[in-house]
Amino acid sequence: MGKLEIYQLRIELAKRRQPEHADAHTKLMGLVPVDDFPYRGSLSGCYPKLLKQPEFCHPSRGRRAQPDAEFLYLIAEVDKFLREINAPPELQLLKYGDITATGDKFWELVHVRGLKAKEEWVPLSTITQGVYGRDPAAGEDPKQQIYWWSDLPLAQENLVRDMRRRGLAKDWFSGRCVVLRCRLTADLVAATQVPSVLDGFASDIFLPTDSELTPPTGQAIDLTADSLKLGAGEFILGPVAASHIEFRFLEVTKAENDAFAAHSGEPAFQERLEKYYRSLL
Amino acid sequence: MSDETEHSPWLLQAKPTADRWRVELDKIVEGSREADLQQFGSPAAYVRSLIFNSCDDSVARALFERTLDRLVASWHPLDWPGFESDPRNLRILQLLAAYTPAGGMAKTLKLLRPLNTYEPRSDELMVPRMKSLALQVMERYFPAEQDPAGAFAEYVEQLELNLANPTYALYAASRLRELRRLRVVSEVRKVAECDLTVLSQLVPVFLSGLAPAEGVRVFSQLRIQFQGAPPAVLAALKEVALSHGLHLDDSPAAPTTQILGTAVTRVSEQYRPAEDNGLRLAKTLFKDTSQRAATETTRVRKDAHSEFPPPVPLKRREGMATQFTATSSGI
Repeated sequence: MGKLEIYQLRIELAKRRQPEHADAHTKLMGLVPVDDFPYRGSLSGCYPKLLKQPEFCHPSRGRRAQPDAEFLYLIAEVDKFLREINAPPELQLLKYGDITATGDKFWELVHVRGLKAKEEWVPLSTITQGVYGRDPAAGEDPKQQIYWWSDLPLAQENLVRDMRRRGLAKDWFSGRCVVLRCRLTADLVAATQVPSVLDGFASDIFLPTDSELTPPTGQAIDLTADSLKLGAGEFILGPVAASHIEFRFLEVTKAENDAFAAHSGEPAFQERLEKYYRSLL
Repeated sequence: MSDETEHSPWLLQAKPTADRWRVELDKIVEGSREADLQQFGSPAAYVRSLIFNSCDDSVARALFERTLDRLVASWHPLDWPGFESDPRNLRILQLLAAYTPAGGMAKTLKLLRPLNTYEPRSDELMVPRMKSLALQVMERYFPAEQDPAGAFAEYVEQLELNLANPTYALYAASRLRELRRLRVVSEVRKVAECDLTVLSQLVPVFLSGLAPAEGVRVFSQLRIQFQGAPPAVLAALKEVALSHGLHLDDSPAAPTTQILGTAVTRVSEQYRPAEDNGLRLAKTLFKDTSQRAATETTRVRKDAHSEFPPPVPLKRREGMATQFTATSSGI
């Protein structure tokens, strides 16, 4: 079974579980060429076109979630992290170029020379007073301002396992990342949403929740075992004030990343995914 | 499609070949991997993940580097119409910045020259992004003075050009300082007259890390450069001098010093060298505990604000996506 067929299974699931988004979903589907369906490295061709659609990645389409945790966690590549923060002058040069060199440099500057970063949560407000989120004033597309948070804590120990429990495949990761945690205040709780099929449209691996059951959280797919199953809770949030966020750097070796191997493009993995989607229909 | 020519990122990682890398790099440059670049934050981070997850990352890296060399060899950045805002140039620059293949230096310089003289319209957000990226790519090629001498001289020249541009002056000065090529040139006055906030940020770059005698000498040179400048500019210079403990007495009876054959008001007293603060943030971010880190950062920020003027956002030039500032060498 090819990726298109697997994606069609997911669409079928989405129609049953979130019929309210069926029309918008179909519209988005119409923009994706037949041979360009998800799984790492695909869908990219039509991504700019998708971004122009009001239905895609809209920050306020989902239903309100009810997270029951002290913190939510988000994991980002270093370069991605730099793009999302409004850095102070000391870091603006790093950010401005929007390049991996900046990621490398930031990593060296703050992580390697900063030394103790691995063990500590650092308030994001020490490097930015703004929000974690795109700055439209810098030419960034405000439509890309949705961020996937989870209530599953991410720590150095078991990082890879916990990433898989969040539905993050092996190929999503390059070995080093910034983990953010956000303390849930009443305001933030009110702002969290359950990810909809439209939010997850471009995601490689996504499980639509059943609207009728009004679930309090979204649900990732746990990729740790051969048989896929329900994973950690996940939530959508827009940009969050830096004052609510702490961050730290985590790093894993290639061998560690291989421990719970699940490569989104691997045929064996796609079979597992197919089986899982079928079991839910 | 045969297995050899079939392409997907997974195949590239499972069975890497030069051809597959070439296809992948083309897709990155042409914009067919946009969702991945958004997710990873940059082309180079995406490439890093491809290498990291390859069955043999050494082989993958070697093949990638060879393919990038070839890509750069066939890259002619000015050939694309609208090259100054062509996203393909941007993506290649992002790769050069991370991997610095030998052929990329000359090509980047070639691109930088017209970008330095290009005045973007307000809706041309990509142009300043491209220019800053090109500058940073050159920074990666020249972390210090090094061969080839001709390219280095050209790079210094392009940086000096930017001293007259309020948006890039601080960056250019910081880089020149780092390369030990920062000279008091007429562009400094030009830029200060355009935007006074630049002056207050630029002077510390000139003084960073200098011993008192040298600091006084450099400041005196600056003073010479500003002779006859508008009163507001002179007042700003005086203020920034004070922030470094340099009392600039402009009264007719003030003692003077002969610098470069010109009599200038003596600038001495309790000179405080500007801190070479490129790594200040890094130094202060991570202490033994988060609490200490927060306290220390607060203290340093207070210190910074009392010693130097707080970093004031530069006046935004029309067409600039965001300001482009630097505080000193080291970044």
